[in-house]
Amino acid sequence: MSQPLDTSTERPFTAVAAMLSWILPGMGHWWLGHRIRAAIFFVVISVTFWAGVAVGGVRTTISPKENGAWIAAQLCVGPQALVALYMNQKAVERADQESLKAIWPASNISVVYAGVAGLLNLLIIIDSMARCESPRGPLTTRASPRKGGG
Amino acid sequence: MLAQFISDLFMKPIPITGAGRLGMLVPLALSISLVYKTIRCERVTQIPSASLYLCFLIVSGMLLIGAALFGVFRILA
Repeated sequence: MSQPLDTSTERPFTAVAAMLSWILPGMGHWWLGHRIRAAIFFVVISVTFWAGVAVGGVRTTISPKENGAWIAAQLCVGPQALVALYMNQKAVERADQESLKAIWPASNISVVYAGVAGLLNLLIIIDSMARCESPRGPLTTRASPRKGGG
Repeated sequence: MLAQFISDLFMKPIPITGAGRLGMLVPLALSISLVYKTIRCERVTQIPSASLYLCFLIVSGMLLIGAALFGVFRILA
């Protein structure tokens, strides 16, 4: 598979990696050369977010007025959350919007699913930024303590 | 037809009852495990087994905490 960027000679822009990760989950890692990790991130975040929307319906899950701070977490998913927000606006305008509201516990589960997906994408954004800053590329390994204290 | 199916899928909520409430914990724990281990694992081949193990730990830990709290509730009731 492709190798990560050689950051000793060319250090990618941290902000670009963060922005790419927000635009599409995993895209920042793809840009950095971690293709398999990027694919895993994209699939997991997208499936988790849209599974939440499917469980509760877009009217209940992505509701800025009813979900409080959860909407901030959900928007960390990126444009996918904006699409869901647009769908919510369309659902609000429908005549049968009350029938589209989920009942407990589906309402809570769906909000948590979409919110956790957003928070996980925030973690991915931070990881892509950290990988940009790391001179060796991946930050996944901690340096093992040297024997003899040297 | 496909558009109608997608519209219904994301518009109409799915009622969840009984064991389904607990069952929804497993996919969420798996998602968290996959993302965490994809970040942490040095080699990609380690990710599946490490994720499954972490998912098992999360779910079993949550069930143990739930059982303990249920026991405390029964004692105090």
